Amino acid sequence: MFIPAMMRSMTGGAAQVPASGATVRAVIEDLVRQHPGLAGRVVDENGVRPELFIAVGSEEIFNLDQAVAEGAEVHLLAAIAGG
Amino acid sequence: MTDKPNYRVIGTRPVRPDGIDKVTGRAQYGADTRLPGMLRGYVLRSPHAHAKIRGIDTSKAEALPGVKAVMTAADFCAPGQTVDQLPDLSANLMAGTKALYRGHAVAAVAAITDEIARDAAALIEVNYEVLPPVLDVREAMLPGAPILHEAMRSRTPTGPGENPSNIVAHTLSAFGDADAALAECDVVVDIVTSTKMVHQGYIEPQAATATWNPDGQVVIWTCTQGSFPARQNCSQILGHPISKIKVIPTEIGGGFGGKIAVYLEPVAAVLARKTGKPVKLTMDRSDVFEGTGPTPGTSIRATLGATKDGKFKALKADMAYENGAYPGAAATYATMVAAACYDIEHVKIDAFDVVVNKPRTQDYRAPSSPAAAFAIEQLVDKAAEKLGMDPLKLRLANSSHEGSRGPMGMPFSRIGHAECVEAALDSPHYNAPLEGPNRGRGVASGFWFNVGLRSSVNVTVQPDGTVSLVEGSTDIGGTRASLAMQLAETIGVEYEDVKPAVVDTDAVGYNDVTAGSRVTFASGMAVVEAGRNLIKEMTARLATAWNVPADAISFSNGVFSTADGSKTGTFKQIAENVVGRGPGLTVSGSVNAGFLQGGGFAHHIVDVEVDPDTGKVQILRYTAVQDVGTAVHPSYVEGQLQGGAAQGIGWALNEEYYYDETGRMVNAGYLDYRIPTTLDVPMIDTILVEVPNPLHPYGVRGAGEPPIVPPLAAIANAVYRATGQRQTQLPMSPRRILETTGKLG
Repeated sequence: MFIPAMMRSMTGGAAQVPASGATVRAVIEDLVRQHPGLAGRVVDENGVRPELFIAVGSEEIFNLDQAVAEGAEVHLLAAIAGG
Repeated sequence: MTDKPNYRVIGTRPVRPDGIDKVTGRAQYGADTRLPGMLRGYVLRSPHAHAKIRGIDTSKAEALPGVKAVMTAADFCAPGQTVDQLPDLSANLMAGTKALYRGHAVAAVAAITDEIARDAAALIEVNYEVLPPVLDVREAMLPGAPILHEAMRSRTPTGPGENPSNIVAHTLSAFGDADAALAECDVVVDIVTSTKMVHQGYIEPQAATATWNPDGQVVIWTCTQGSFPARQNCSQILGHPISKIKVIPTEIGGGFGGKIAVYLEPVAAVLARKTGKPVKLTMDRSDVFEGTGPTPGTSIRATLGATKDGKFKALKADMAYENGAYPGAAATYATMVAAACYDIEHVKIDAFDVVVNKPRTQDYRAPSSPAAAFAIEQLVDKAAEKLGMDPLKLRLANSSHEGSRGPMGMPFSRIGHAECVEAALDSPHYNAPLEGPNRGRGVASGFWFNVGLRSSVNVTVQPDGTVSLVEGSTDIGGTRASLAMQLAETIGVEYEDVKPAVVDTDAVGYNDVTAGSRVTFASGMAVVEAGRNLIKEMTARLATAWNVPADAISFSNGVFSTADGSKTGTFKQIAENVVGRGPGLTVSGSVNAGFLQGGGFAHHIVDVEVDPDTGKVQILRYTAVQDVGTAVHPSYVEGQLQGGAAQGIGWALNEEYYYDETGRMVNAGYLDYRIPTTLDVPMIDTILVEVPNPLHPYGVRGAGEPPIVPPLAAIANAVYRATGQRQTQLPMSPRRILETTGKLG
């Protein structure tokens, strides 16, 4: 998983963290198991937190139960709009 | 440049539906709202840039005949809450315990006339303890600087800081090993830049009117970039349910990011609640400058390393961005845009968001990107000079492309930066010689993400076969037209048969702000969805009328027909003769188009002449190149490119918040804050590069943000070639030019 710069204080400064799981949700759960400080900071009871979005490869995903292939890159990204 | 489908409506240039009202003065803007019994409001603002508020005595103001109500920050407090507990969102609207910038609102009055409201505000006695302000972003970072928020601790890559600090966050964005890679580079160039706070410069000042009925129903008329987010913010600030707030968007005279945040709306609502009458508040120009949200000043140090054959290897930067009085994320944004145009393996950016005693900054067209490009694109120019390479060919050789990692580590999808640079290389402008003394040509690239977010529309078939298109996104740049065109393309009718309207928050599904160059893209997707839903529903009704199965009817090029061709009818014929006999037909389209729209890239070329005696920079010729995906209405897209370039020219040459040592902006009016006029800007030529966006059914890509990114650096590069002096500070005013050329005085 690729961690956005603003959240790396919770991954010990790591920009990339290996995580496993068959779905995006499972991968995130594994990430949180490794870095408990991220609990509730990526997803909450209502889904992905509004200040973030998630992409697999270069494709944004909207369903946390989407399957993740072996070796895929999952990106946590800071939400940003513009003027 | 690509195999563009043969569209029937998209790509044409019809008249905009709101044009006549606007040119005849009939369009209703924010300040045009008039209601029976309406009171006028006035906001009292802090004369100090930094001061504790020891107390506010409103009794004399309340006693003035004609005054109906006075409010302070205490009126935003929930039961049991004190003003020092108000969140930043509320505290920025009305100072509680501390005024953090000159112009910070401290109280407001509602009265029967403007004059009485103003006189009453003058009777409000605010007991200030004046504190030293800190106005410079680097000075604010130093130990011992005046602290704005005693409780604030920096967020750092290693956790929260221990002591109070003006540094909101230190964000480290790093890929590879930039330090090691720089040490191995054949060519290393560096730069230190600074830019000043500038304003979006929209022509229409903020205005809001509110009513608060006894049953708690609140209605707000306002010139906002987003009526739904405005409703959400008002709900939070007022502690009032969203279901009881309706926001009616008026026409808007520009925003560029500056009319996303609410300022007057909750104040008008509180005064309406206290008086039981409609209350209107308007800003004058100095209120706009001092009391809304400009874009940050910055201080950037950057280093770029390349191999001797011109391959960029490493970029390292330290970027400090003003957040104004309350925490923001402008510098964090900068880490995500600074290196986007180029495929660089090793990047390290330290970004610092910093509070200073200036207005809380807000977004301005591609926020954070122009100042970053001012540094990075000058570095590229310096590298080209050292390498002896054409600056465009160097950019092309290092360009980001589909599959290369973007600034956040994620691979780009189909993007068009290289195509923009190629178009610039082939352009008449770049191939024309520039002759004469004191003249120079500069180029620069720029990037913005562009986003999708959420949009909803309704489409209703009218008895005469026309359709009404109801949308909820504020139309700033001609989106009523661009959405109507996409609907006309989808359902096969003439553009003139689509009647678009922007409605209030009760009348359509949720729409995010008109920002991030998203409306023609995302609301366009909602329109296409609604159009397809409409055809599906009409097909179902037609199946009954024609007594054939629905799947035996096809729809193509605006004509319904059976497979054997025995029955046919145009959209308009079917709408009149079949739909018109049945129940009303309204369909909707709603999308969450997410944050990834595919990046938007621009490239600009500029020729300047610098007067060696006065330091004045004259723009001789300007060309803006941009990947726009598919230009739905080319005239409006060209207008976006020209408008962005013009704003960038102003930012580069003249505009700045000019402060005295007490934190007073001394040029808070358009006589002294100089935005470009037609005398300053030549006709800006445009080249529309169309690399269709695979994420949109018609290939649309947002166009509004990228064109403000390149001008600052492009002009600096041109001035360098004209004078031999690097311009590292903005604005490049005549005085600054003479300082750098050694001819001042």
